[in-house]
Amino acid sequence: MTSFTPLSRRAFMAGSTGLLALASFRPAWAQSASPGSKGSASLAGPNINLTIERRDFQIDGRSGSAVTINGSVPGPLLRLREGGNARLTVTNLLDEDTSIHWHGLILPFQMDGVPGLSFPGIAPGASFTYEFPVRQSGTYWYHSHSGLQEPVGHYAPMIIDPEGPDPIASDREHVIVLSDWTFANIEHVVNRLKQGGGFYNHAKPSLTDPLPLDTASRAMFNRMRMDPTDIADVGAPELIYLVNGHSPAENWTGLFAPGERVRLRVINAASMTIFNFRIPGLPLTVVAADGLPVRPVEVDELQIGNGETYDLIVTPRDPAYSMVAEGIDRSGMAVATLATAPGLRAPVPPLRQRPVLTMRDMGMDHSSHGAPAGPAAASDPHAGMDHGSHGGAMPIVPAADPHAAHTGHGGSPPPAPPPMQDRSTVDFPTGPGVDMIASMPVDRTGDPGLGLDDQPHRVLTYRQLAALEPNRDRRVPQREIVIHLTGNMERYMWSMDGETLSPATEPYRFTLNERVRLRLVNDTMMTHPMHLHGHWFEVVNGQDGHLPLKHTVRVLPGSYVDLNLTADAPGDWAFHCHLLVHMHMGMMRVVKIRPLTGEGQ
Amino acid sequence: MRGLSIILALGALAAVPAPVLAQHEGHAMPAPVPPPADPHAGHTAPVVATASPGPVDQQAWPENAADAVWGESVMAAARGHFYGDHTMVSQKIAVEQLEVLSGDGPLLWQADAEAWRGTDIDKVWLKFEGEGNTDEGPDDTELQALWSHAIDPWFDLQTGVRQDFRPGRDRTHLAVGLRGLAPYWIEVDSAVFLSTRGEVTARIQAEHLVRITQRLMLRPKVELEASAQSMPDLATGSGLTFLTAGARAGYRMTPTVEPYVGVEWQQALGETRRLHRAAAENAGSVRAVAGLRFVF
Repeated sequence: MTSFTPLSRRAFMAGSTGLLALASFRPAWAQSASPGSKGSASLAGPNINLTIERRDFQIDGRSGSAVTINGSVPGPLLRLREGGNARLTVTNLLDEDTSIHWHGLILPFQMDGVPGLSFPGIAPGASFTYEFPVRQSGTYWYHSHSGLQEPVGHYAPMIIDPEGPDPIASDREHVIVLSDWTFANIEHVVNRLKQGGGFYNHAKPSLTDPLPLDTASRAMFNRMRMDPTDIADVGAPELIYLVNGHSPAENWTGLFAPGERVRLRVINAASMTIFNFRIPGLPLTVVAADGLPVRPVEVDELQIGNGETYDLIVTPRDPAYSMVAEGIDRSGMAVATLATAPGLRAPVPPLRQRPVLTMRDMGMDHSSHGAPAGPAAASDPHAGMDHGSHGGAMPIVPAADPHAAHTGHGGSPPPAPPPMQDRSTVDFPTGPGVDMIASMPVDRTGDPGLGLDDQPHRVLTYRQLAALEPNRDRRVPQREIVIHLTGNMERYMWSMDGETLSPATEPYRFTLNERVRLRLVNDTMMTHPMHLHGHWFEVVNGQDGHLPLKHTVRVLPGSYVDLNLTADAPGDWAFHCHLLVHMHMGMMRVVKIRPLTGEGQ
Repeated sequence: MRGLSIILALGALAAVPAPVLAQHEGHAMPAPVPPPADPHAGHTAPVVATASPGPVDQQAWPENAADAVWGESVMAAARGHFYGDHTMVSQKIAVEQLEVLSGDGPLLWQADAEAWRGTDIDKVWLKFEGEGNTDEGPDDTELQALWSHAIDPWFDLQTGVRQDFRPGRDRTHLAVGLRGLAPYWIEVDSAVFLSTRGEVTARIQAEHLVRITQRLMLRPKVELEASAQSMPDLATGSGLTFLTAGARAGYRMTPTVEPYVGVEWQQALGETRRLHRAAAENAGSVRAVAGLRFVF
């Protein structure tokens, strides 16, 4: 069943230098001194068996209890082929229900793996066979959608090889699964978060740690009861950041020969951490996002939200490079090595200064610097759209006009603060769960991500992503739905449109093949990676005709992101924040897509 | 039996989206969302629909799509978890002050603790305050049992009962208060009490955490008490009764354990002050304190 391809001789030699002990709970592809995943070290074939069970998981010599797939964290690398059929039998050896969601896959809703929505779930002792046609290629992953199993190990990578020649040529490839791990009981962690804001923030504002904020901004934050240092819910040392299941000390190493084109398939499988990824000294050419090829863009760093995947081409020539995935709050980082031989290392850069939230993250930036909403908005054919005379579709509130934020206040200090906790600008109920409504959200798809504005090197922005293939559906969306991402930092409540998911929550309803515009407005001070199941959406970023297709999009604080969606998959689908604990708190909605009555052919 | 359900499932898979699904139950889109009659109409741009809808009547789809595949009864329980598991019950026990006070005679101590358990919106909230000395034991303690209901992003309305335990002077009160976080990070706890003897009293307390470093904490705190009537057995007059102000400097050994030292000044006010003086008691005191703050 779990017949891993034997290790190559090279990998075995590396293992014998001290990593053999780890080999038993890491699949071959994730073992250190890996020659790469190309064509080996994976589960493939017409019938694939996966077993979910509790196992010990060791990091830095310390042992914890993990929910594993085929005994390992991460689980086995699945290698599927476009145009084939996947048949995956999952056996649950846990004492609770489990599930597998195939993240980013276009498949029939009943195979999507969300218990209670797409299927009943997999009971203890039961097996369930997923079967679906494979209609895409690229870098994906799979994970539990049950309770809090993903944070404790239930995740793994999946590669789908294209039916024809791969548009992305490389000599070698490595799968890079970024994740986070805590030895603390995850339920206990959530309870701590509920006890009050910032329990795991060890870099709060203090008299001796002055903030790089002007007095007016600082006063505004304090008046608003917002903490400008609240960047991540949990950070180091409570979280340990992993590359392919290895801690920085364990230093996962991927091998290469100098001058090779190496493809890195980077997956953020963390449940609580958005990462800043870079390889000092090595430019990264982004060639695919969320599985699909994009026009190559060379950068030095990129931010990766939970659930996003990026394929990067690097051409290393030095003997060794450090691969660094820094947590967004910069309390810690995952570190691995790319080297020509096992044991070689490059210097590891220190943690950079922690980012601090600004007025811009509150959605009330009055200055003219930064990325204006211009390009995207200008190219955005709002004109033909129906702004919400239908139920469920809401008009864009005047305050959300991207141009409002950019008229005239060039550089002058902020005037009297707008009523940013004014709830009258939204037409959903705001109760204790909503501590803020961004008064002037802006399009930040031109921003590299929290804390990356002032880097001396190139950092990827969404606006740079252009799909390699021309967009297939050029219809102008006929409807716009404004969806607010809401929360309360102090009470640790997370919601959409002010409401956590409950039986009373109204789903988003789309007609099959309807072309709809979704505007996600972030009213919180955190970045939320929003994931829609079973679909691609286009990020409206100004790359007209080649809008990038994604399944997960980071929505920066104080910003909105516009998405075009062709609702082409009938059924019920989950739409949620992929910070797993936020989803668990109810930051999730159901999208229901149905054929129109009587529509034929 | 699982095998059977899988076979059924695969059968149903083949049938979706075919018009064999469960009966319509009058739920034709509660949120009226009439999209364009034909998404293909009126657009000259090339359109490629990646999924071609069959001749399907949408009214054949059940409200919950998965019911058509796996069966309504099979889905019902799982659906309950999917929609219902987001209301979490959390809890906290916080001993905010457990301290000894400077002074002559037997060692004085006082304690201030609270515990809660519940959801984001509704919690059971217990508050305990006590003081005494090592010779005579507790001489003035009170326990409040409250229902704490979130009324806005930062404040809870707290209602319940308060029981005072004072030798010979026990009282039971109805308590109504507001507790939460005011602008500029000021923690506020205020309440009005109505005792079974018909006495009305009130108190408001405000505390602010000043971080000097990530570990060194300074907590100034002030409390003002008032009474609508005089209560001779408590040596309390009407009007403002007591003002207590203190500051405690703590060292956060871990996020949950913080030993501290500090100072506390208490002053009787107005009529209460005169009553204290008449009884030859101190109407005011300044004491050093040392104690421990911890959280579970």
